[in-house]
Amino acid sequence: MSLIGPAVAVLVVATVAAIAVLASHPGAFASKKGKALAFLIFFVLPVSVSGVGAMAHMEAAKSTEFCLSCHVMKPYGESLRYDDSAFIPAVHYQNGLVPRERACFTCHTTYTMFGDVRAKLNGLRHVWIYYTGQTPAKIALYQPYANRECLNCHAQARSFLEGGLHADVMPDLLSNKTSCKECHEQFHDVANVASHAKWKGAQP
Amino acid sequence: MNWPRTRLFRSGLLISLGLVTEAATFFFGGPVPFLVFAMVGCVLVGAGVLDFLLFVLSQKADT
Repeated sequence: MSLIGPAVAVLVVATVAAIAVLASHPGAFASKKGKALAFLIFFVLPVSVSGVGAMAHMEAAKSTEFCLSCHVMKPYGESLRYDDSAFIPAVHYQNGLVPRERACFTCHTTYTMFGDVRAKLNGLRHVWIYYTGQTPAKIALYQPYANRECLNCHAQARSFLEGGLHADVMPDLLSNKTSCKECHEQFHDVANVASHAKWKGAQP
Repeated sequence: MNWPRTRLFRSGLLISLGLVTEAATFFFGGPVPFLVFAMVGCVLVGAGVLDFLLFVLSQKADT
C-alpha cells in the first residue's frame, strides 16, 4: 500500500483527537456554532474518512498483489511468466502491455458502465467462496470472454486496425461474431504450469 | 443546555474504535483486511454516528 495507509491514519488520528477533545467538553455544544461543530466532528468527518478508506480499499483490490494473495491464484500468477509469446497473459504482462500492478484487473474487469462494480461484487463472492472452502476444482469464467475486453485497448491501436491479418475479419471481431480466442487461444494453462519455462524477469 | 457527557462519550468511543479499526486495515494486504474494514470498522462508525444523530433528534423533539 502506498501513502494511502499513512494518510488515512493521519485523518483518523485527527478525527479521534477532535472527538476526544469535544466529547470531554460538552458545554462547547451549547451554542449554535457548537452544535454545527458537533455535527461536523461526529458525522461529517467520520463518514468522510470512512468513505475515503472504502475507496482506497476498492483501488487496492485492483492490484495484482491483491488477486494473487489467495493461494488458488498462485498458478495464474506463475502463468504471467511463461517464456512463450503464444500465451496472451504472459506476453501482455512481460511487455508492459497491461500495467503490471493491475495485470489481472485490466483484463478481467468488463468494460461496460458498471463493469468495475460487477467485478468487485464478484470479488466479494470469491472471498466468500474461498474462505468457506467452496473453491471449485476448476476455476472458470462466468461467461465467454468478450472481444470488448480486448478491443478496449486494441481497437485504438493502428497496428491492429491496419494490420493485414485482422482486416478480413474486422467487422466480425468488432461485433463479437468471431471471438479473438479463435486464433489467440493460449491463456493461463494452469494445468501445465510446472511444465512451462518461466521468464526470470519481474515477479507478479 | 449542556449535552450529556456520557452520551457524547459513547458516540465518540464507537466512532473512534471504528476509525482506528479502519486505519489498521491499511497496513495489511489481501481481502480479509477489507472485510474487517467493512464489517467491523464501518459498523462501529455507523453505530456511533447513528447514536449521535438519534441523540440530536431526541434533543430537537424535547425542545
